[in-house]
Amino acid sequence: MTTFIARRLLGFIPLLLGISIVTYALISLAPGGAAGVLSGMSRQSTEADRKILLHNLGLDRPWYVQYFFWLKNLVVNHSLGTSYIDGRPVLTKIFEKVPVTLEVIGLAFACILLIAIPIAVYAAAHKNSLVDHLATLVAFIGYGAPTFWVGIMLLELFSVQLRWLPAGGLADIQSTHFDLGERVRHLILPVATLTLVGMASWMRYQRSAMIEVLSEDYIRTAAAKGLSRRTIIFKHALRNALLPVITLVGLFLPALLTGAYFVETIFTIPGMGYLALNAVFERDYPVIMGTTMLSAVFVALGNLLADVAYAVVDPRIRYD
Amino acid sequence: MRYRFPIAAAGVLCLLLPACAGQSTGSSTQQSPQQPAAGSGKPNYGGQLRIGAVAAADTVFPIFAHTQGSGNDLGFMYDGLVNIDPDFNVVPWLARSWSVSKDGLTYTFHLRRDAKWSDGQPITADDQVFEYQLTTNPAASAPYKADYDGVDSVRATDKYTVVYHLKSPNATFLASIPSALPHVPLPRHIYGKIPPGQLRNMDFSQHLVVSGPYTLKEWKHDDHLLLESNRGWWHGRPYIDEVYIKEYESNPAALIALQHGDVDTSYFLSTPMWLALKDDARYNTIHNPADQVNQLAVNMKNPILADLAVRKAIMYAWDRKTEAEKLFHGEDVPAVSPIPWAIKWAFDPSTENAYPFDPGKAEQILDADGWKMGSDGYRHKNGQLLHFVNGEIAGSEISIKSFELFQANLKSVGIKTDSTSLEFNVFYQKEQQGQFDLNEGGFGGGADPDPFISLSSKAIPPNGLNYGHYVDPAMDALIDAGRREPNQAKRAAIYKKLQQRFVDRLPNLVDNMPYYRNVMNKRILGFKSAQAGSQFTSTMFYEPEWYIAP
Repeated sequence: MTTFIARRLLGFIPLLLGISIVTYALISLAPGGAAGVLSGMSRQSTEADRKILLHNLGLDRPWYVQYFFWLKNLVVNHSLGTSYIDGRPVLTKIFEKVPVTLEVIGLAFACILLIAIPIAVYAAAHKNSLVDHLATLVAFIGYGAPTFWVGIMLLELFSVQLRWLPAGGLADIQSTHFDLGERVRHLILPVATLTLVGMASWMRYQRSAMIEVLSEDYIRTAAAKGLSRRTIIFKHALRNALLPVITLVGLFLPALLTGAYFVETIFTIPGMGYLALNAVFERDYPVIMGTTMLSAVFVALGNLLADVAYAVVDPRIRYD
Repeated sequence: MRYRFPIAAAGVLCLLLPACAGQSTGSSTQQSPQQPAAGSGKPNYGGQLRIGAVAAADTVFPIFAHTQGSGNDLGFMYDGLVNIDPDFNVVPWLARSWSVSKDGLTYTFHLRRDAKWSDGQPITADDQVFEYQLTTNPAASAPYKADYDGVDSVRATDKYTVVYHLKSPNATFLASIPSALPHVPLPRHIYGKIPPGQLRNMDFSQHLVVSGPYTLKEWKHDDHLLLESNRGWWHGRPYIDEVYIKEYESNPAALIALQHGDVDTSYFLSTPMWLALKDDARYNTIHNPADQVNQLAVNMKNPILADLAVRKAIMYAWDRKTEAEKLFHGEDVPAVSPIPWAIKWAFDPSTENAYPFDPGKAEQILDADGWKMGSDGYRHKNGQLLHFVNGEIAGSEISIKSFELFQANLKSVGIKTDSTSLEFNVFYQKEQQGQFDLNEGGFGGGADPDPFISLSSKAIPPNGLNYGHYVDPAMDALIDAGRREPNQAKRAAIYKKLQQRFVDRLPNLVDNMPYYRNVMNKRILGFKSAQAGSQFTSTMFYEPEWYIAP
């Protein structure tokens, strides 16, 4: 197993290298360069002034030369460079935001598992019951509704109309110190948005996996042995039904991260999504590279996690 | 989605223009007739003003500020040599007086002796020279370096006297360079020892030394700035103790914060935001003629549009009055002038009646010009379809609706139009390259009416905003004469001629003269609203005199 993980981690190097080259090429070749933003669309700014700005940032060289220096800086100085916009180190900017995004994603993921799995198991065990139909309905709405729409609707209802919950941010404007209750109130709507959207797919996968397992011969055997339905479902069926679903984790984390980007925008949460989106609008290449690479690492780790989890849950799977 | 450039998204390219951040003495201001002063009781100290901003501050060091967000924030923290009052007059500020040489080339400013930096050091003439030296040093990468292209030198002749020598006489100088941001004095005793190339990477969030009514207490990037009143400020302690500037990612998020009561006001309100708030009993409304012109730039390189008859036909076919009624509630004025109607001394009101909606006349003009209606419902000449593509910035609901009305109007006289919506940076690049036939945009945001930047042949991109590549020696001569003439009445006469030529020649298709709209929570008292303006700090006067209802 250790060898497997080590091998997979080594495999990350060419993967991330490839992603970084493609990303750098894409942002450099995309229309609408950094000069316009940097010159602040100054009314009087001349071509010569813009050339100076680009030269000072090294942007007057071909993209592959720029990329080489970006990579060299990363390898030699372990630095992702500094933001073109505010001159702060990209890593500092990212480390300020990562905990916030992880907090939102982590809480949403926990909520999804805690809500979706029990409902899915119940729905599978009581196929075609009212709960099953309701769960299916909720799942389809969750599938169909975009994250930003769900977020705005929740905001409108609970924040603007009912005024039960704050409209955005992670703390009240007037607060001077960290307060857990306040933090929880601020996180309810963003986490609820991600949970509502995310649990739809989770519920559907878990339900079908469960139904499939429940129709297996060994479940019939267990029932014939006289085991209680509870034991059959939780001890025999669920453990097996979880197996295919666990692979979803790897695929689901990137989707959750994308969702978090929307949610951060809607709820004004200063996380990675906020940072990445602004970097794109501002053509802040070092920050775009930094946030993209971090997302790539996140996705790669998610996949690795899924493979490892697979082996842990199913003793038949060996990677050595 | 967040608009990094909210103003641009609304179709106006005023970002951090010096006069956008002007402030006034307050004492010399007059109240706008439609905007009575909020509050008449005795002001008291204390409290916190909360502002929503849909654009993060990128820097708190003026020479690097290149977004309107930063410009508004810095307006609380830095003073300029002179200032702009609500009637667009230049008034003394850090400079108690100034004089201009007879040849119009030398401006001498005499600084107040009681003004101090927030660390207690005196603000001197050399601090203004320091700003000039930093901005014009290529190593510093200051975005507004080109503002000084017309300035030959800036010198301190003694501790409190600073002398600007211009390359040629420029009547717009006072209102555009020393009036405020970003060309404000900077403390040489703090930042003078740092190589200019390294300043950009400095962390200014700690111990920032400023000259204005508020100092920086806390700056959490992409979240908020907390400002604290500068008790040693030369003008006296501001009434409100703290200003909390909360950054929002998008207009909807800022609107919800206003509806929820999290903030008292916003740096920017789009038309839909204004409509959602204007009847909210918790807010006073601010509603002024904006110092902006909304227009479609015409690409003169397109031979069809270079034909004046076609431009005139478009203007007659375009029902700008109905557009103003449907989209802007009948308020925006469909004038045809390059000079914002807010700058009353220079604006010619007769331009409001130019090109009234008359589709019959448009058809006559096109018929006479040889454009014959085809069976497809559009006009053709020599096998060529009468067709244009309009470029616009994606994401603006008003822009889309506005274009739909324009398109329908033009279709009725046989002109085909299409629109291409682009992300802001891409739009900007293509606009610079002259890739659109027509493109939405506006300009303004200054206290001076000089239309050089959008009309002069010297301001063709990349050297200005003359996106249509309009070249007209007679117009250039009028623009130059207006820039040279120091006397306001004589300038007004020049601009009257210039506006007449504009109406005759139609270098751009002016849509309307817009309003600036905002709201302020009624708990904030003592604020006055300028008679005109288009930016927060140039419209809401005057922060140090505001106070919070006890």
